[in-house]
Amino acid sequence: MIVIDDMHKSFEGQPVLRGTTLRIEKGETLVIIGRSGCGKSVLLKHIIGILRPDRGTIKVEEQDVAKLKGKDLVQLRMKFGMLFQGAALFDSLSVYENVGFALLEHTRLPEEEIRNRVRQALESVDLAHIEEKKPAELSGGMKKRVGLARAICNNPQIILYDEPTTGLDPIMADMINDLIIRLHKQLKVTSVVVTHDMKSAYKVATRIAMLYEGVIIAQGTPDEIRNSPDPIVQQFISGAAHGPITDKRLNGAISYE
Amino acid sequence: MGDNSGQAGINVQNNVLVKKCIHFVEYAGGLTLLLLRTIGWIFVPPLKRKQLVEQMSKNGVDSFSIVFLTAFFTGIVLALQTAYTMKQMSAEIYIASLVSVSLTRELGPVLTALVVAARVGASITAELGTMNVTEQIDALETLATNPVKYLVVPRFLALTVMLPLLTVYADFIGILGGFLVGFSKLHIAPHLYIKKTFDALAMKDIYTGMIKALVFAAIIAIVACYEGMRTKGGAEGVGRSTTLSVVISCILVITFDCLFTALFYFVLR
Repeated sequence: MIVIDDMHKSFEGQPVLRGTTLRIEKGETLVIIGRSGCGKSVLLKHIIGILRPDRGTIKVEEQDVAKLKGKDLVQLRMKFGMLFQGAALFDSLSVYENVGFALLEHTRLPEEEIRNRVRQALESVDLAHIEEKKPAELSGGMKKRVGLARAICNNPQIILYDEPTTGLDPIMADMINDLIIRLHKQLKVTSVVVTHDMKSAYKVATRIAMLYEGVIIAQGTPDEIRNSPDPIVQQFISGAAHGPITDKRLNGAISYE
Repeated sequence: MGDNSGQAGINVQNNVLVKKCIHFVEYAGGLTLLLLRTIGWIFVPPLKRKQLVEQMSKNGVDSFSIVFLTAFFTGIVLALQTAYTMKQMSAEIYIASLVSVSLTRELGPVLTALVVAARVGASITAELGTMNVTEQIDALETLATNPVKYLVVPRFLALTVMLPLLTVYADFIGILGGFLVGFSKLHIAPHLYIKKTFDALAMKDIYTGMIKALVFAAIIAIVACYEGMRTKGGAEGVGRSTTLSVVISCILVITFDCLFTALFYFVLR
């Protein structure tokens, strides 16, 4: 279980998270929606301990992430897998070295065993026989899937997805959605997906939370979010150009601070 | 009114000065902290031998040709320029001593460091900068791997081993350049040129040059990695960091050269 409590974070004096509070239950797929630049990715990076909050706490299985150091932080991170928006594959390494990175770096498993695990991870994302290729030789969709294979290769308990469908064609995006659902069912992991793609959100989520101006303004099942009376949520999910979000930018009328 | 606007102008200038001072202290602190963390991680096993060898090859061995050209022509130019003055005093034979001492104590380490800062420092910053803006460094952290250990340590060690070697090589090639000018154009007997070269050189000349090369290697590696790892803003940011890395490395190399030369001259006579 992940508990985020009253988290604040600013960059160069610019507040991004302003008291975010959220609880992510074990085994659920929580989708965090919100406009581009609203702090969704920043929130994910706090969960895995890449960023530290200015104020507030993030607890993963009762451990305060911001206070962990050294081996404790390494152990915590080994429980996670993360898919980055641009896949973030290491250019200088082959697909095999990328996918098996955590096993090669942190375990003493024999190479044959690691090769098997990498093959299985690649098969889970419908890829095969590309172990020796370099990331530059792969298409955007393949890179995302290799990124996903890397995220699941060390059997994580929690998978974080940062914009998993951004930049993909609709068919590839739907394939990634299916993969997220399949991995969730197969591996019984807790998934946190950050996206502004509502089609993807409705498809993969067991619960949706909306981040707006650094706070969670709504959360519930996909149906509850779809039928939310909040005009801000309604404008976002309908993708309307006019509404309280855009009007607020002009008038400064609505604030959740 | 005039006094008020003058006072406001001075305040603005003071604020700018204070901000620049804070920025300088932050930057120097950042470099020092990265240096200390890097040294700390060197002693944490395992040492990535494969990466170390790869970096030594990429950043050291591949630099031999450019160092050859720089040192060879510097040796030639140094011999010719000193010949111009020495001839007037009929003291051409001292060209051998002057070239060898200038190269081993000063020009060898400094020119090699400047060439390496431009070639290797820029490449390290561009590589790490690109990794940073494409979230590869964040990905390393999510895979429970410390970026300093994985990225900075091999580059730091490779440069601190290879730059002193490149410096010795530059010293030798530069002396060779001077030697070629000495016997072909200035008609100094080869055996005499070689004898004068060895007579002039003391062990201290070599090891002070080596100490300088070691310090310059640390400067180039740390500045290049620091700039790479704080790169922001896509391709433009990578370009900006790369330029800054080379400029700052060169300035620091020359500054530390001045400090070390003074130290060796006044303290370690």
